[in-house]
Amino acid sequence: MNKLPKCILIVLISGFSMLSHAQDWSALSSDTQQTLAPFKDQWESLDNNKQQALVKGAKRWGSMDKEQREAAKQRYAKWKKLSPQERSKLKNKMQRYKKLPSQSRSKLKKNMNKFKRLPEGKKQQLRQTYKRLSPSQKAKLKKKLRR
Amino acid sequence: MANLIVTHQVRAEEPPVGDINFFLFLADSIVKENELITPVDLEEIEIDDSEKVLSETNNEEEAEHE
Repeated sequence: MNKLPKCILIVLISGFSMLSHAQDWSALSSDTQQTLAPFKDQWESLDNNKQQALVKGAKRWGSMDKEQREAAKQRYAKWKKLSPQERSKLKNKMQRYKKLPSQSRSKLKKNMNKFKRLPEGKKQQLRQTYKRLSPSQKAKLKKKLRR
Repeated sequence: MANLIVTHQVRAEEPPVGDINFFLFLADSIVKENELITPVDLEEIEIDDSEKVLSETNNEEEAEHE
């Protein structure tokens, strides 16, 4: 420990203190404060990660247009109906999605949108077809889609 | 009457009041090229470690073109 250069120690300590220090309510922008006003009283008791996520969520809300807000509310309504297990699975999937190269994300998004536009009956049919595929058939299909 | 309409319009753009989880949900989401992608949108897809997808849609489409 004593061998660590002083400058590195300072960086480590300041980095740690930034990570562990809670975000002060008064330091939030007035827009964020307004959006998060219902949580003002409990703000101090929230851990830093939650505070940061809330600020991020509030900023996102602030940057959305009317249509996006409506879409977000609808999807949240669907989210609330999921079981904790399903939510955790999807959160995990979202993390992996965020890490994909942008080209893969675009492809995926394109396919996702195509799928969404299909009639419900067709979607159901595709879900069933996909479920019946063997792991090797699924792998083959994925390989084909990557091309 | 006009007031009622205005109130309704404003409310449509309000977040679910007092629901902390709504903002956590938003924080987990992405907005790219004006499109919102939430964890719920990934329900129908598969993501490999290396890449992606379900969407036999492509396959289907290719088959239709063939």
